[in-house]
Amino acid sequence: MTNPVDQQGNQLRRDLNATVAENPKNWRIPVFWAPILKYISAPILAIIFSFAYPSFHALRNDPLHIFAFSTMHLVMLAIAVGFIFPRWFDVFIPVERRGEADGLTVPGVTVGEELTAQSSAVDTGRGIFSKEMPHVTNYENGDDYAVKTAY
Amino acid sequence: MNQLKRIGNILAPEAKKGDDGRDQWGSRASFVLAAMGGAVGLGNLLRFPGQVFANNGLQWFIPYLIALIFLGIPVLLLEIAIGQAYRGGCAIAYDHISKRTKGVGISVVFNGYAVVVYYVPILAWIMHYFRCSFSSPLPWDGRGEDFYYGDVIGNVDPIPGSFTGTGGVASYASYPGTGMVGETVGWLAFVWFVVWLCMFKGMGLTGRVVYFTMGLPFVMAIILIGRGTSLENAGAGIKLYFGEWHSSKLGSGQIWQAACGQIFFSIGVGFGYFTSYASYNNKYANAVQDALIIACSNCLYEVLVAFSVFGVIGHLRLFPDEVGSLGTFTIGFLTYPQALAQMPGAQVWAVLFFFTVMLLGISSSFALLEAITTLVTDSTWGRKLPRSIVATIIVVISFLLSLMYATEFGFYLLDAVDTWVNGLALFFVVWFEIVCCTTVYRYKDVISEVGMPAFVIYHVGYFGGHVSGLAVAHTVSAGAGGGVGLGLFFVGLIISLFIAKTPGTLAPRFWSKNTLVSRLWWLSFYSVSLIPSHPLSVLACK
Repeated sequence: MTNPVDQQGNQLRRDLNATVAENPKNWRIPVFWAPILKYISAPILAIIFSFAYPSFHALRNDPLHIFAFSTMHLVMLAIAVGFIFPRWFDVFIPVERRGEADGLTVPGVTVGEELTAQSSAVDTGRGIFSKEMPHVTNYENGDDYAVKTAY
Repeated sequence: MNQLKRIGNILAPEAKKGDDGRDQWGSRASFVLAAMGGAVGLGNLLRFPGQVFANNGLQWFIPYLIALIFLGIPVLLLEIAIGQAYRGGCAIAYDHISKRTKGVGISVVFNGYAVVVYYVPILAWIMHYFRCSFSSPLPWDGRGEDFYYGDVIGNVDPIPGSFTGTGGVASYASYPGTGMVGETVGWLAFVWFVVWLCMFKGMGLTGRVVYFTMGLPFVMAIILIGRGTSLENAGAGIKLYFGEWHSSKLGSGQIWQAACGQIFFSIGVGFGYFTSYASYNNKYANAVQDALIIACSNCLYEVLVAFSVFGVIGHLRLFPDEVGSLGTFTIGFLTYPQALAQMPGAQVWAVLFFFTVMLLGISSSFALLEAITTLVTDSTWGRKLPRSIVATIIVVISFLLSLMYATEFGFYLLDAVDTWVNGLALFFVVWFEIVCCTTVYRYKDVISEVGMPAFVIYHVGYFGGHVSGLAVAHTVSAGAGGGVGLGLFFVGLIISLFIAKTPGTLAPRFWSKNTLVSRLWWLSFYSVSLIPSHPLSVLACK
């Protein structure tokens, strides 16, 4: 037993080989995708968004624009309410699927990975970020929680 | 009666079910075509040429392609991937990112719904043109603006407001017309009925309808391109589009803003239908490939159809130096009809053109409506009702809401709502989508590795950089804003690197060789990197 990443990586690799090898034709999301979103797309969007307020200034004497402009701020209200009182929007989530995000707590562990990894041999130490992707098992059955409870 | 039922089932079959009982698309092509139908809409046929016209020349394609690669495709992929992996509409998908980000899913649905409620009235005006296409001579021949503003829209002119010298409001604009426009109301009911027909039964029916609503516009596009480019003097218009190069235009911010906006609206991210449609996919479908196919064919469609529009522009001898810019409405309702009226066999071409626009609009409308329908049918209370009932209730309510655009001030109201959905809500919500998926997702992992203070300071730098950078950019200068934004980001980054705990869990590969580098990994890239390794792993595995 060395560090946790080792065992998990091993298990992941095994899970993966069993599944990925089944249909290797699917394309993977490339490594650079997420940094592009966070460090390029997001600032671009913020810049375009910021033009909204100066352009409203020229239209502030038109009641229809005032109506539309203020109504559109509801999206901010919805995001804020959802953030502060997450349960208020639970009405839109089916009962059996509520709290799915709560189980994701072990650093570096991919969701849904089966924790038989605990007992498996320590191997190469390739983490989840290695080329092989983990197989997510029993995902809908709420096995996400397995990760949390096992630790 | 049974016979009728059987015929109904042949025409509108029940959707296939996945292993978990969720409806599923009949085939991959159905999903791709439906998503493409959502993406390809009036924006492609009408808005794109208007944007290019204002920034004409081949240099347009530089910001356009950059925006496609760095904005369009990544966000589209995000929306499709989470819908498919989490097998749920927007609310469920964002609830899965974190319980605190459900509001993002709700606001995406709100965006899509706000758009569909004014999108259908635009189609009602198109139907008015369609009806008149059968009369000879075409009623707008020689009186394009009169026909459009007077006969079709039928709004009473507003009385503009004014400002005082000090910047206060002296008087508010007022809209004297308060009645309803009869013909618009009638077509509105008709278009909503068609939209309902296309989507009430779920993916089984929609998956079939899209072969028609998407297939035909592709054929029509080829015909329209052939006709447009063979008009007399079409070459001059096409030269405006594809035969000039103005590198000086790249220096202005305007062309970049227009390109980002165009990519964004034309693909149609941030309205929730990609996530909703993808949730009816096979969980192991090839999401990355699908996203690329959808984004690229969407762009290809508009780039090619623009040849037809520019042929018309050359034929009518409209040149940007003389006429200024052309808006969405101008091309669809004024420029193109005017050219149609001058062609031999004008009626045939008018019918073909407006029918194409109509099909594109219908397929976008039922896609837009899908986000809210999925939201309801996913919920515990909503699934007690059959989908057809839910769809009917939603369509009836939407029809009643959209009546506000069929009034004698409806055109101006529509313009105002269109401006702010697209100019304010959409960008804000998509920005938040990205932030939630790359910052909030599994944030506790990062905190447990590097400590709360470092996490907070890093993100104060990231968000503070955004906010203060923009504030300075608007009040002082763009350059200063960029400096402040980046500066704040790097200050946050450096402080957080030094105060961070040394991560106990190793970062992958070279990130783990040095303590500082390892901290950098956890702070900047962990949550963003986990996403591809998680839902996306579902997609990559099969």
